[in-house]
Amino acid sequence: MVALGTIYFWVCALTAVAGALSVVVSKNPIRGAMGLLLLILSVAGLFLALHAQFLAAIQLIVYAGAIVVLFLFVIMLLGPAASTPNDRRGLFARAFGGGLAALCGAAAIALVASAGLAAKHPFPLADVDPSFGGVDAFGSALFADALVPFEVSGALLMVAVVGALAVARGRQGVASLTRSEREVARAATPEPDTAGGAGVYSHEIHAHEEHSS
Amino acid sequence: MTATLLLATIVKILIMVMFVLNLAAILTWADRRQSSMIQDRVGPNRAVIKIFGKELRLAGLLHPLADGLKFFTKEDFMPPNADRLLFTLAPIMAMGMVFTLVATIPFGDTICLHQFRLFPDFWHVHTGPHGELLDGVERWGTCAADSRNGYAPLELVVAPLGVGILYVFAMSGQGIIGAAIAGWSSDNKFSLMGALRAASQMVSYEVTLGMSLVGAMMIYGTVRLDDMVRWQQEHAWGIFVQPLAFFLFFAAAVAENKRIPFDLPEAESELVSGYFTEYAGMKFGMFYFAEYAEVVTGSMLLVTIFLGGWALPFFHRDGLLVQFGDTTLLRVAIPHVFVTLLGVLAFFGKVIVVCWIQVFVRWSLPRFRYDQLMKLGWRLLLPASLANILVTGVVWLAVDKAGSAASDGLRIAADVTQAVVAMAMTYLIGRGVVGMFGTVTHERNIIGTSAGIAARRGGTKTEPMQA
Amino acid sequence: MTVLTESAARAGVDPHLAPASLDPEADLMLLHFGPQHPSTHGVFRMDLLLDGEMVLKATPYVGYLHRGVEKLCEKLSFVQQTPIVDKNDYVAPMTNEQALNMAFERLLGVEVPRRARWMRTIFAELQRIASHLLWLGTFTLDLGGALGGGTTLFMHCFRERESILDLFEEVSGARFHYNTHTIGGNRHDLPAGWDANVERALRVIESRLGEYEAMSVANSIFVARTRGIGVLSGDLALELGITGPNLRASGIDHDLRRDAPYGAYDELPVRACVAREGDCLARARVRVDEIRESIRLVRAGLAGLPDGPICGFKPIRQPTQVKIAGGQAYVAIEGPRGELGTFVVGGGDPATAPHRLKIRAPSLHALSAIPYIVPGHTVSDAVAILGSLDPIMGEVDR
Repeated sequence: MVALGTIYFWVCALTAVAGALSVVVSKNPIRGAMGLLLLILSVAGLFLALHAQFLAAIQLIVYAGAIVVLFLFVIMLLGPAASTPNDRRGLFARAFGGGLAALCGAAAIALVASAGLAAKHPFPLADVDPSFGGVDAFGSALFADALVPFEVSGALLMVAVVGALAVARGRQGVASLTRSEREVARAATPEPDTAGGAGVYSHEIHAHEEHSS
Repeated sequence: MTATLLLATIVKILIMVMFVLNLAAILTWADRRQSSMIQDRVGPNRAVIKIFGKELRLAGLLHPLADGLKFFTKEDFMPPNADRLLFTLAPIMAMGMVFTLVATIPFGDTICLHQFRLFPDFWHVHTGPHGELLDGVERWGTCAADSRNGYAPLELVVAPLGVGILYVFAMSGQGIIGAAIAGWSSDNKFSLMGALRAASQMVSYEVTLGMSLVGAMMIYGTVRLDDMVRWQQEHAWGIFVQPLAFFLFFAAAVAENKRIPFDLPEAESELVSGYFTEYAGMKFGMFYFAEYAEVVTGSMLLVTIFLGGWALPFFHRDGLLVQFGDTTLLRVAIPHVFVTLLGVLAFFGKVIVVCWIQVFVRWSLPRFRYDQLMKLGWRLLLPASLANILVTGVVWLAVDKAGSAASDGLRIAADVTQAVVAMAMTYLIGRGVVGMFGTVTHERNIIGTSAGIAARRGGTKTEPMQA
Repeated sequence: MTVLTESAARAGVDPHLAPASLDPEADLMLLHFGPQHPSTHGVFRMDLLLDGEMVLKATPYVGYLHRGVEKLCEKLSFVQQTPIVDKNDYVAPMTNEQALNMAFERLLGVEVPRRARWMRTIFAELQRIASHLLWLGTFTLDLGGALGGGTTLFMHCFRERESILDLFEEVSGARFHYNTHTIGGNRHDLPAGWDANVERALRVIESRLGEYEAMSVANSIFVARTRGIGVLSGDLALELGITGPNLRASGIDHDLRRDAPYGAYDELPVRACVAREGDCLARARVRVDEIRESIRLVRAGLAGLPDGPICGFKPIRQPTQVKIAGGQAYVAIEGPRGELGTFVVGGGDPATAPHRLKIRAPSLHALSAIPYIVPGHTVSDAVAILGSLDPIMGEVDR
């Protein structure tokens, strides 16, 4: 059984890393979203291995079922023109940021590994109560011990939602932008990808108009 | 012990997957057959198999088989500009997620293996002076592992997860992504519109789907599906306790399965075939099949949460007990294993009935428009489900405060609902049997000459389809 | 400013919207809706300029089913043309034949016997019932999908339509392309016992019509999909030359059977079915009412059917027998889709064929409303509007 658990952990961990890498590396945004989905699924699998059933389920419902779908939605609406950013600016900033992230990651891994190696058994896991991480335990923790922070964070999220609505309602699309804003927006927009791709929202309307008139 | 557990799990997985697969295949037949009955047509009858020179048509039951053959032998077309990886991945995701979510659905009560003896005791029921089982199981609840002989209880669910219903929602949420990337990767405008409709529709109705169950979870006091069934067995079916939630859940489940009247993502008359317009061969077959599998799993959920799952009225784990309040009318002791197996049959029977109702709905309603669908979901179903939660909480608190008289009354009311269910089931089964063996009158309205000649000659001759 | 642009402006629609005037950042989509599409009633194309699901501009394109019928008629003799025009409006061939032969008769000055006129009227009304039934079926198919509730009503309507085709078969021997009208009257007399069969078929249709209404115009989803959708104002409809049920649904009380009686309509009073709203639901209601009215007319026609000859022209022995040296005639009748006209110019070369033959197809005019009434609605509504106009591409493209 131990062997099975270890195999499960490694499978989940490796697919999580693969998913995370494909989010960063993939040029096609939809494939990036699929990588994110893979990452979320594997992390949910890791949660399951840690008895955190509730967390795993919520991870899947919220992140995979809602967030990734939202990403897909936005990417599909943007169309293929948005799929190739082809942005050469900020190379230094990106390299710096990536390096910093890598450094922090390595430090975290080293910290965990040294702590684990210092203990007698590597990576000791405490025997927990079978109900740990279940709905009952989570619910009582949420509504008894941590009621105030939970409600406060809920209120904060609600404020954020209302704020986002207000911001989105304030400017209805490009039409409401000022003239200079529109010029800036147009300059930043890349040329439409005439070759076409898997995306379908095309800019052929103008071409069609010339053809028919 | 581990080997037994593994074997039992494999058997359970096989039962569940085979049931979903076969019922989905039969549903494609039932869909055609039912539609032909509603529409006054002959229906599927062309697929024929020859055994020893005898033609077998089986009332069209061979059509799912012929369909499968056709799917496998058709060209696996892919649009030239399609995203090859995602185009292939989409049907796998759509179908895979449907089958993973049946894992937590219990299809029978826990079998207490220490009650299961081979001959000669198997048929024998030890009863006490009042008809109770002497070495019987508890009337309610699960059976503990028996330390005396090492037998463990056998739960008739593939994965008895503590999160229960949440797992189902987690998995059904992944099905959206299959539809979405199918439409995006197809390089077709109709597909893209279908994918956008599918994604927004399923995300919207998932909210209602979850919210409509909160009231039921409050009353059952659990998120585990098998405990929900046990509560219903002990008290009353969910449809009586949460009638509004039942209809909300049913509507949202039909919308989630993208069936008429909510089949906007496919919408043949508008979007050709929606997000799977460009799919052919077995890839299309997987989408087609996933739709029917979704109908089966949705019906399983509905049955488990609102229609008592494996529970039959007045059947307990130790036998039949007709009781109103404290008045006992009838008591028959039945071995626990028989009751459990009867429960398994009852569960699958209920699922088939609910599937059939969905087929019936499909062939009698036109389709909504996209904005009407969204308005229905967000402005009617969702507020109704939230109101349902509120009302459930208030009533629950009121009953809690009212004291013992109210709870006694409720208990008798619960027994009455069991009686209502029992009578309704008897009536339906009786009607079904009578209808099956009753005489069928065919009315023909033939006026013209050639049709009249054909009728006098005994109908036009049909040749069997050459396979 | 012409009436056309006035009424379009009142509807808030610019049918000639230039895409260049739109915001290029708005991610609009041009959807070629057809010609290969399940619900374009054959081969018809709409180019829909979409903002999300909303149609900004709709451009209809016709001509995919052009067979050159009018040109063909210039080469064929007058006698040979009847079975050709049967294929124009392939849902209502009877009225096609009638309009064509009435034009020839007017040009030749042939008097049609009274019995033949009554028979033609009965045929036309039966054909109207069949055509409207088929329309009701296909319209619910558009609303309900080819694989759903729409199919049920579709099959039911087909079943009732079959009985009418059976009746026509009994008369002419053909179920569809009858070739039963001829110059000066009818080719086939009614067989014995035909009126009893008609009564049987009508009774079945009448008894089931309420059920079909419950499944369509009384169904709440159907009403939600059609009420207020594709509103065609009366003046716009008049300006576009839209006739028939589409015009009457817009509140214009115009019915050729009553306003310019032909056949037996001078003796059989017709009640025109009118609705005021002009939306898809009104068009559906008008057609269902017209089925009832036609049932009444068929019954009245059978009750008062006079005896006598059925053809007022000498029997036709060979195709070249009929010669028209000159002159021109236009005859319009009220077909199931509206004013079905035939314009003939005699004096062709040779004189056994017309110099020119033009068919006024009501469906073509109905389609011309699309740029005005589709914009502002969703793609689903575009399908509903197209279906509610009842276009038959065979007569649109000819």
